[in-house]
Amino acid sequence: MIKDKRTTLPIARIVEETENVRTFTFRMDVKAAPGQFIMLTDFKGGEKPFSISDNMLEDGKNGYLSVSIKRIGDFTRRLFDMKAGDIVSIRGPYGTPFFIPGKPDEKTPEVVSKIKPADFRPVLCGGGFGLPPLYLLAKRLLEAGVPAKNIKAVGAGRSEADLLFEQQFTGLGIPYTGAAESLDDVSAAASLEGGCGRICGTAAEALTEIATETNFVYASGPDLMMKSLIPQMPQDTEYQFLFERYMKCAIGICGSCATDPGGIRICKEGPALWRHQVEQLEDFGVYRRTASGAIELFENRLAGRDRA
Amino acid sequence: MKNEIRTEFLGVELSSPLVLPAGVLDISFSSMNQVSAVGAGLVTTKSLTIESRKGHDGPVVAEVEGGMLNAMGLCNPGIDAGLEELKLLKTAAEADVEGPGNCPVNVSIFATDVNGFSDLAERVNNSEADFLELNLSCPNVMDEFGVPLAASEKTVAEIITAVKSVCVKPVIAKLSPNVTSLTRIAGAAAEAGADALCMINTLGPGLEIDIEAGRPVLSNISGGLSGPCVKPVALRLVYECRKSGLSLPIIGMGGITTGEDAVQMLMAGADLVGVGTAVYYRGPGVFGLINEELLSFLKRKGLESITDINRII
Ligand SMILES: Cc1cc2nc3c(=O)[nH]c(=O)nc-3n(C[C@H](O)[C@H](O)[C@H](O)COP(=O)(O)OP(=O)(O)OC[C@H]3O[C@@H](n4cnc5c(N)ncnc54)[C@H](O)[C@@H]3O)c2cc1C
Ligand SMILES: Cc1cc2nc3c(=O)[nH]c(=O)nc-3n(C[C@H](O)[C@H](O)[C@H](O)COP(=O)(O)O)c2cc1C
Ligand code: FES
Repeated sequence: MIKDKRTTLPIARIVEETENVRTFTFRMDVKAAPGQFIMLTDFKGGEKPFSISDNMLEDGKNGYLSVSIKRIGDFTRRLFDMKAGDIVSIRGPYGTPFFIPGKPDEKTPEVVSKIKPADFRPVLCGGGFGLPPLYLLAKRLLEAGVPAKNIKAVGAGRSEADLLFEQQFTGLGIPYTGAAESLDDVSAAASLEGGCGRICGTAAEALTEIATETNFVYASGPDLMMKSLIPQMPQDTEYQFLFERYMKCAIGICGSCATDPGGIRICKEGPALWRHQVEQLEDFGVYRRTASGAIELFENRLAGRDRA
Repeated sequence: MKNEIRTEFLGVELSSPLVLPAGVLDISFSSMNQVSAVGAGLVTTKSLTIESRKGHDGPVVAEVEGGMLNAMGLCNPGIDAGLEELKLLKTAAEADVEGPGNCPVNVSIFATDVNGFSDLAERVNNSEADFLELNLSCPNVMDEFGVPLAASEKTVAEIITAVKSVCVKPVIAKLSPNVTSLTRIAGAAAEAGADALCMINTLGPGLEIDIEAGRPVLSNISGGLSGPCVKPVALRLVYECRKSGLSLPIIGMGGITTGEDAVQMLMAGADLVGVGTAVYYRGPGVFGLINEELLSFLKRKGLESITDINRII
């Protein structure tokens, strides 16, 4: 029996979120947990990972799957030329999702597994296209019994126009703090792709302001943005971060997405990692591997010295 | 009675006959170290080329009934970065004094001609590698490089002779099942001085079509077949090599997923057993699981060592 099934289907709907971000929705009835991703191909060369941002329409109709995609390079540019009705192919969902209170597993730290949904007070902090998966997370937290007033969302972006999903979060009754930094230098431009411009500072500042009431942080975005949050958290705060590494097989055999030094595979054991896993990572915020497997330092990336 | 899966390969002690083959969880030192720690006796690096390669565009894998098609396209960071990774692996393994994470390393290389192989082999010779493996058989880059080198006895012999003249480390030739007579090629490799053989590389290549889109699933169109469905072919080829009188050590692979599969491969004539695609079905822990399954087979049969079943048919 084939486990890794592929679904080839027309795009049901495309919604423009910002100039460079669009939400693509597919009519696909799959169980998707927040933090999981799909692999998407247009059959023109290229298959790329995208986080699931929703699994229903605004009117509550089930049986849909959405991803919010930022236009970055060749593949995503081609997607932006597509229309509803055009055919794509999807495999997944893949990966270990975010933790939902009341549903601990063997990796959940004891202190966290004991928190009841009513006492869970998380901040959801996302940079750029890291925000959409946090929207699905917010919905699941509410379903699990976490009161909306306990949850706070922080959105970081290069500019006001890049702050994603404000309406969606406030629509759930979750306050949203936007942390925008205008895009006026190269490092800010690189920030959302893995480097750190001043955007890290703004996300971290926003977190400091609201973190006092918090007992858990979820973050999703570029490594350096997530790393900048750690010193701003009250001491001993438990967290989960959603990681991005170069995905090829997405089924745990090729090793492309493995982190150092433990070999944690972001497509399997990730993308959502616990603090105790994050603390073991040597590559976090320092380097990542390109399509060839070569190590690329974030510093070099910022300086525009891309290797392979 | 003590049951033993420890074994010896080309004069080196291995904790297990299980081998991580080229291309599976072996781009970074971390993955290889992890596989070593969970029970592999030998790990192989991704096939390294002179320059780095991004590999083919996705989709690069497609699960099929009983196995997997892959067309990774020899993505690798290049020989220099690959040998840096090896250094990190050796350092990590040494630090891991407690665990078994200290297994020997087989460095796989790929080139398109004799000079390319010699050049790479020289660099591996000057590295911490324990063994050198020549990937003469990648089926996924035929558009780029033509028919795999392992298709010609003459070319195989030339490459091995050249490599042996620059490399004192044991040389393993990885052969393709996609030839008229693998036995003849194996014989040529042995005669040219290969120290061991590794077989089989992926079968085919094969094609899978998406009927909704009316397009091949893999962007490379075709991909090499691996996993349980290739096991009978792999077993038969190893067996035939043995029957032809070949005495070199063989790393047998192709679809080995359980301890019982591994027993079959040892009986067919392999000395070590590669476990690749099974990582998909059973996770990286598959090495520990198959070790256990091998041990319980020995116990059930009242045998002391895997050498008791090796080459018995
Ligand atoms: C788990 C995960 C979830 C993601 N979720 C989203 C999302 O919800 N929305 C979104 O817009 N983007 C998401 N991305 C990033 C997205 O995959 C890349 O932006 C996309 O692949 C870029 O392709 P391109 O051809 O347009 O750009 P390219 O020019 O090819 O690449 C631009 C950059 O994108 C990244 N990238 C390219 N290919 C891959 C790959 N195969 N795997 C990982 N990173 C790659 C690299 O950092 C690269 O430098 C996610 C990535 C991962 C790993
Ligand atoms: C994803 C993947 C990548 C591979 N890459 C290589 C490679 O770079 N070099 C090589 O010699 N063999 C490569 N192979 C072939 C394997 O080493 C092995 O010979 C084959 O998969 C059969 O064993 P298995 O069925 O246990 O996987 C690859 C196989 C897979 C599945
Ligand atoms: S992408 Fe994670 S192992 Fe291949």
